[in-house]
Amino acid sequence: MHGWGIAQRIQQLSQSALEVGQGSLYPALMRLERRGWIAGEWGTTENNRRARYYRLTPLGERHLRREAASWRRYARAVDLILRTT
Amino acid sequence: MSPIRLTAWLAELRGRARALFGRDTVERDLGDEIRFHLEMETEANIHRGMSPEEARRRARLAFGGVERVREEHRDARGLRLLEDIAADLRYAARWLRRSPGFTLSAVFTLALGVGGTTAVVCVVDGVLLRPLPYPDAERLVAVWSLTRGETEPWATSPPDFRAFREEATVFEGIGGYYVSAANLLVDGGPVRLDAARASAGLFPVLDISPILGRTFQGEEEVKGSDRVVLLSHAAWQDRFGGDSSIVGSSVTLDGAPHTIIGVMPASFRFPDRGVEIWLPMALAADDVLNTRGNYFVSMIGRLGDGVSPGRAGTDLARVAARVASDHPQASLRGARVIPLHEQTVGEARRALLLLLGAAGLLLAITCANVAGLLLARAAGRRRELSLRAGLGATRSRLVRQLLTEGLLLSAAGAASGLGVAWAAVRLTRVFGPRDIPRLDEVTIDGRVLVATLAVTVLTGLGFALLPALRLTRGETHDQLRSGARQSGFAGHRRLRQVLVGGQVALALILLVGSGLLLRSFVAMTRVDPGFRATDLVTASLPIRTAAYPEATRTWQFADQLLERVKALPQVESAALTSALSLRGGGWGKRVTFADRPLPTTPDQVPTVGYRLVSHDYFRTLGVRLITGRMFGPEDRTGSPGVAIVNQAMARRFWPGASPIGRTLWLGPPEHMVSSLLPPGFRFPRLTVIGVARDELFESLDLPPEPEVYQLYAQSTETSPTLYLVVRSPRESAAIAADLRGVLRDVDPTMPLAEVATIRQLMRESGARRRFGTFLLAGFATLALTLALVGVYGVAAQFVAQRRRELAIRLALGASEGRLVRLVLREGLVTALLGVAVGFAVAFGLSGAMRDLTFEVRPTDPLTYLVSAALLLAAILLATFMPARRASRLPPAVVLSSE
Repeated sequence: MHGWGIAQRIQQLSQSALEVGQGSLYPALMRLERRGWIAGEWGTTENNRRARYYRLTPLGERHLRREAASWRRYARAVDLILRTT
Repeated sequence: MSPIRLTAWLAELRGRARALFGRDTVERDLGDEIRFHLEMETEANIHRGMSPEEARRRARLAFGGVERVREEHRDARGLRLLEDIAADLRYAARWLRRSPGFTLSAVFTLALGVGGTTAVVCVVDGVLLRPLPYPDAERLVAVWSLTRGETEPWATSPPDFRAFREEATVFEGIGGYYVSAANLLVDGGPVRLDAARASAGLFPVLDISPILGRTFQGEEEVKGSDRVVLLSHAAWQDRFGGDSSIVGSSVTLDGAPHTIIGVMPASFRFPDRGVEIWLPMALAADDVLNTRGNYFVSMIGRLGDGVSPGRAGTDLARVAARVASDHPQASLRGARVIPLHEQTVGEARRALLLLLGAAGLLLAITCANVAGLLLARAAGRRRELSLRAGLGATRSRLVRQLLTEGLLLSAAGAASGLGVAWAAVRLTRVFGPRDIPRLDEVTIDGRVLVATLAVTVLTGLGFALLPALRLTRGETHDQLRSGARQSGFAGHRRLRQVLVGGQVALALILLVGSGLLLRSFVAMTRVDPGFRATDLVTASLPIRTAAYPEATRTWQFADQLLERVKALPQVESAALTSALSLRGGGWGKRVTFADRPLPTTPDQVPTVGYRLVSHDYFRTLGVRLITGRMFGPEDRTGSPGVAIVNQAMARRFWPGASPIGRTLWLGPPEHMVSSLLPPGFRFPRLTVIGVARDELFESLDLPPEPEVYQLYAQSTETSPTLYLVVRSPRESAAIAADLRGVLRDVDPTMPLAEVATIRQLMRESGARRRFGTFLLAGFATLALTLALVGVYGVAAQFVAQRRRELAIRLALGASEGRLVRLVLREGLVTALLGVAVGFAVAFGLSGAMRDLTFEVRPTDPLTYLVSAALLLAAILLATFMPARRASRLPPAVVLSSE
């Protein structure tokens, strides 16, 4: 998925709750790439445009699972606390 | 590292590498990506029904600042610092190239400072710090005997050595050796070789194996089985052509065939680099040397694991006590154990540390000087820096830029400095005094390179940091307004003055130090050696016991030789002696006086120096007789024994009285040593017939010791070496050729060794002092030069900055003299303050020079005053040039140009 696509997906999926400057995406992608969690590659879009496509690396997938699990645990904990009050 | 961590780490490394090396690609990619993003967003907006312009505007708005994103992206790459440093370096290099005059003078100054320091660090490292070239060298110790009646530790007698070797328990081993010489027969002619006699255990103790063959075995320590020889690497190469099948072949040494059993590695130079061969230490049971009265065996021990020298000393004291109780008349009473490294380095330590201090001072001056140069340059850069600060560069960023320039400068200086150091180390190895131990081992190696690197970084930071902080301090906006140009200078000038004052102070310290050494050196060359040094040629003759088993044979040879030598053309006189001033030889003897109460314990028997000489000794050397008479023809073998003593002896034993006619003998009272002597033995009684002028024996800067001279004709002892002294106005080479001819007739197996004039010996004796003096004087000269450059710079800068003011003064009628005085004052006030500080510090440090000066006090006022006067005169000169320039300014031109 290319950068613009990612930005669109974030906007759609978060129902515009996370509206940050779209530009901030690219430094973030750079950081992820530097850690080896994603890999970028130049490719062509359906209407024949050059775009940089990003995909999760196996390392990134592992990391995502770990982070997601940890987030869910955290979110559930917060949720539980909020419910009991 | 777990495999996952490792993969992550590798991935990160790849990412960074891409970011670093593909910097331009990454930037281009980012640009393409952003463009693509904006286009997509614009199209999407158009689809949503916006006009193209509106769509583009909204897309940009949603994206945010493109430049900011680029910046963040760069930060995200994590290479910001590296890229900046690369940019700084490029910038610094450009800046240095643009001002070649400044760069050259700074690099030159640094080359001298860093080079000098590195060279001295090399020498100090090689001589003082590096472990000795033996495995586990820290466990090696020198072992000396303590004997009754002597306060100083001394070499050991062969029986005591054997007792130590066999009975000590905390040593892995103790080896013994003594320096000797051997005459090798090559191509029909004899050559004298420096040799060492070593016990079989010495080589295992040092833990050095031969590169060919083997070392000595225990049974070769027995007289008769000792005809084996070990070659040094140098002897093997030079004398036997490096023949790899040399082991097992036979050579003639001291007239007897010896078998070569091995060759030692090139690095093995024991006990010093002159030794070419090693022979077994084998003494016949009935040899007079093999008794408890003769102390000449040096010992090296290897301590057991974890044993301290102190504990080893206790162990050996136990052995000494056993020896003392079994042999009540032997004088051994203990042992002193000194780590071998300390023993080897010994006296050189203090002088080398002084040099290290001097090098440090020079480096400090270098830093101050380059800092001054940078500050002067900085004046012109204020606007540039202010501009960069105004455009958003942080202060730390600017400081980093200036520090990079400093480091680049010092790196260039260090590179040239290494060249200077390399040359200096080569020169030191070639011309350095031979008596500084291990000087030949000194090299520039990795350790020293690391030291240079550290010095470089430190100097770079040192001289760049101060100006950097000073330059970037505050008020950036004021600086931009060019009217503020002058205001910044007051602070600069004060800083420069402090730097220059510091240089002057440091230079004065070095000047005073070298002045003290120089005066000591001059004092030493003026010392009266006690003999007439001109026209004297000396040579040594190694007397081998194989050829001359008895004293009478030796003295027959001596008489024949002297007779022939005296008959040579243009020889005024000639003499033989068992010990020669400044060359060595001879030995000490206990002395007892017939006209004084006999000492009651062996401790009370004094020891004096002792020489066997021929009749013409005093006349040949030109040693004056103070009272009494010289040896005459009536003194010969069989006539009553006579002796001549020196002034030191007369002063010590007969203060205020005449020694003439007194009787003495060279030994303790017989009853003290009766068990060691044949029954009824009596030392020959000698009558003192004259007092001779003191000769300086050991070295020109050591006071004379008591000496007794006896005619060899009246002695029953022989000497392992005889020194031939010839007084003749001819060239020493011509005399040596004649002497060799005579020697061939008298004894064709006897080599003529160590031919030198007494003048040469005197020069050698002063070699170490001359070396140290020369080096320190070199440092002081450099320091003086650098300080002058600094002072000149301050005055010149003063003139340059105040051209306008000076021109106005001139235009308003100030006299040239007034202007000159104004500028002179500027330079001199700084210099005077520096001199005052330098005085105080030099005085405070003078204690460190105490052992290094000779006949000059370390607080010698004359040296201090002359140094200060020299420095001030030079500074005056350096200030005068810019001052004159100031007074010749053409006011109209200056005023209209600004």
